[in-house]
Amino acid sequence: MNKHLLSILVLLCLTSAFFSSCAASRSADQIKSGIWASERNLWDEAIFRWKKALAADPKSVAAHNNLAVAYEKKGLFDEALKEYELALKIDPNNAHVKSNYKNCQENIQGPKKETKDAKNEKK
Amino acid sequence: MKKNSGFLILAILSALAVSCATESSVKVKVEMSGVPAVRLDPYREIVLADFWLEKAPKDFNLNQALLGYLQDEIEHQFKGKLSSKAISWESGEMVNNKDFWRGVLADPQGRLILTGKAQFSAEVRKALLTKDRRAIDDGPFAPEKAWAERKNFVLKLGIYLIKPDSGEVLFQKDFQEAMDYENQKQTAEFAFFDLLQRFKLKFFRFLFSSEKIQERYLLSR
Repeated sequence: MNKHLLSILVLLCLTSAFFSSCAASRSADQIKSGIWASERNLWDEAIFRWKKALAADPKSVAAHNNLAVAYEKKGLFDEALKEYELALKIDPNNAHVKSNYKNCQENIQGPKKETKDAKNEKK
Repeated sequence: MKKNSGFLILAILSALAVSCATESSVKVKVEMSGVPAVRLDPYREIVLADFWLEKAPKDFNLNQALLGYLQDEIEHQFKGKLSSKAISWESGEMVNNKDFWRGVLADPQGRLILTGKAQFSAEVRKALLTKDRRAIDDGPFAPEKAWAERKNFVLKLGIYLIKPDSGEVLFQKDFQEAMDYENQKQTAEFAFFDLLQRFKLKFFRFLFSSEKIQERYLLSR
């Protein structure tokens, strides 16, 4: 009987330890809430959540990256570029952030490039 | 009993591990607006000026059809006024002549000229049918034609947005659209409007920064 109780206690200890480590690894629930909101097109809510995540952990690559995507969506391109750059400063090799940053730059520079071409043609 | 409880612990932990393991990134499709090539808010009026026609069909008036279409489509999205202006072109080079555009409008303030070069052509092309040659050559009946004729239409537009008070070209881009029709009786005018629809999608993305679906990654940790 004692052995049985002991195994239950061990089980409880292990699960609670596992849960706490799991919660720590998902450092901010705010990031997930933001993703949930963005999937429902609630970008203002998502921005609010990711800003909160950044306040809790200013070095969160996910929060900087996600915030940048939200700013892009809102047409705030300067803010978006700034957030991508901050994310890349923390994690320069993050392929997802690099891809987002590149696409954002292309999105912004596309039409501007045309006007430059036009100027060259005129010369 | 001892074995069973150990096994139970392992099973529960592995189940928890699976439930807690999450993807670190989520690929999302977001409708992103681009940056417009020219900010239109400072302008109260867009003047649609005749295009320089490099190659035009005989069946219909290309300038009239083009300007009419652009006027209808732009007025849905532009808050200001739209008007048209007849231009007597001497050559396509005039489009870069600042002095010419400076003198085109009596009151250039707050107005923007949309003009350019247009070329619309039609030709009949031979197309190779992708059929098994044996079925064509060795069949019991008369061999089918391995070649078919397609009517091909090409629309080339060089679009210019010009500031009439300085004659400066604010935006220039060349567009080219082509389409093949099986129907040999396809009219040039019908094909022209088909091609204009395609052109509009591209051009308006520059002019009004229409939203475009793009992929981005959201990170969950």
